[in-house]
Amino acid sequence: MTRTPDGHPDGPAHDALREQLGAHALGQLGDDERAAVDAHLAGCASCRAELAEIAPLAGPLARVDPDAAPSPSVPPGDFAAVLGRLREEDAPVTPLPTHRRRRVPLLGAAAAAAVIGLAGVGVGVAASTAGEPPVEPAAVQALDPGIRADAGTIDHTWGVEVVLTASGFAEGQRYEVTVLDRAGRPVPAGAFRGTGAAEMVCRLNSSVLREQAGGFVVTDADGDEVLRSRFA
Amino acid sequence: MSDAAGTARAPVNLRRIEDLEAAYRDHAGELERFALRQLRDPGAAADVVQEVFVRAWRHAERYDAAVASLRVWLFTIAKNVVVDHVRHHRSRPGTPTAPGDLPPASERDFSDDLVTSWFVEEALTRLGDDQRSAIVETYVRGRPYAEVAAEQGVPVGTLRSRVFYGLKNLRHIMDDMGVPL
Repeated sequence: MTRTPDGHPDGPAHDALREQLGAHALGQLGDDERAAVDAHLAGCASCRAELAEIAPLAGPLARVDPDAAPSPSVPPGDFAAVLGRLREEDAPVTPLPTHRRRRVPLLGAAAAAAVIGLAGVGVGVAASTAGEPPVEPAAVQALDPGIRADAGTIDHTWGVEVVLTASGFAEGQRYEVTVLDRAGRPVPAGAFRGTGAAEMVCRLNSSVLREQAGGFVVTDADGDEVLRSRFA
Repeated sequence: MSDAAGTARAPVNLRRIEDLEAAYRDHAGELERFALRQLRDPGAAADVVQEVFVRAWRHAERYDAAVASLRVWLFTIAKNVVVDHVRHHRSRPGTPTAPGDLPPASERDFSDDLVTSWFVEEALTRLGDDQRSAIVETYVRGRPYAEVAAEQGVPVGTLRSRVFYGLKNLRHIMDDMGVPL
């Protein structure tokens, strides 16, 4: 065995001890082997440093599942739902660039409202301001007589945005908004808190594309439907 | 990769919807796979991802690229959301997870292992076959060196050497990924 001037193993002997550091870090050495490596470590700073580098891997490695199926790749998710949640926090959110959509004549919405023909029906005519994508009005039917509401939709590339202008939702109570696709399947579009008599404007985003969206419903904390809207 | 490019260009500001959406594009898929692995519930996993980005936006000022890569930071949030989810559903079945706050960075508990093990698993896939199988067979599966060495047709010393260099490489890969150990 060759040795360094300070008496430690050098060359192949050192390499042999050094290459045991992996098994040492993983607790795989027998008592004698371990004692030999420990004796070497006591006098070899570079091996101590190498051991310190790999030793923290032992814990996490022990929890790796060797038989776990490779995780399936997940299709790109629903960023619109995130945006909806952010709007729910009533935060200033920078609008995303969206393509313009031809404004639908208000008559269409009025006709839709007339077709529903129920008490409490309102017609949402949310005005579109300059620089914003156009808001298409949507028919709204409140099931609670205290609620007055108008609604409109904005056609974004990532899904339909619902603009709900309303008063009469119980102050502080949480309401969930769910967009229904043309087949009636529910897709969460976020939530808001009622503001009582004060008028509120909330913007809720869903991942359902405008042409596939049939309307939306608002449900209260008990899950009861309090408002329904049908898109033209 | 995207982390390095992202931090090299301009500071990431997750309050900006463009930055948040870019982070979503880069990491939502992997985060969802992570949540799915932990919860085994696709609906819950999707909820976790949504909550991660809401919290990331809410606590954007806490993100410091000098301290952690964006990916590691998002995974740390995801871990917290997953843990919240599990705790919540243990105590109140059938109710949605209440959005919680990020715990202080010093709070290290068992759940940190979730994230580290996830990254270790990924780092393992980047190792060469010899080194990976040496570590997986002898340590993760706990098989005797002699048996694995015979199966792979190499001396025990060679297998040990593969474990050692494999661990060194693993550590470098983890460091490159910005995962603290």
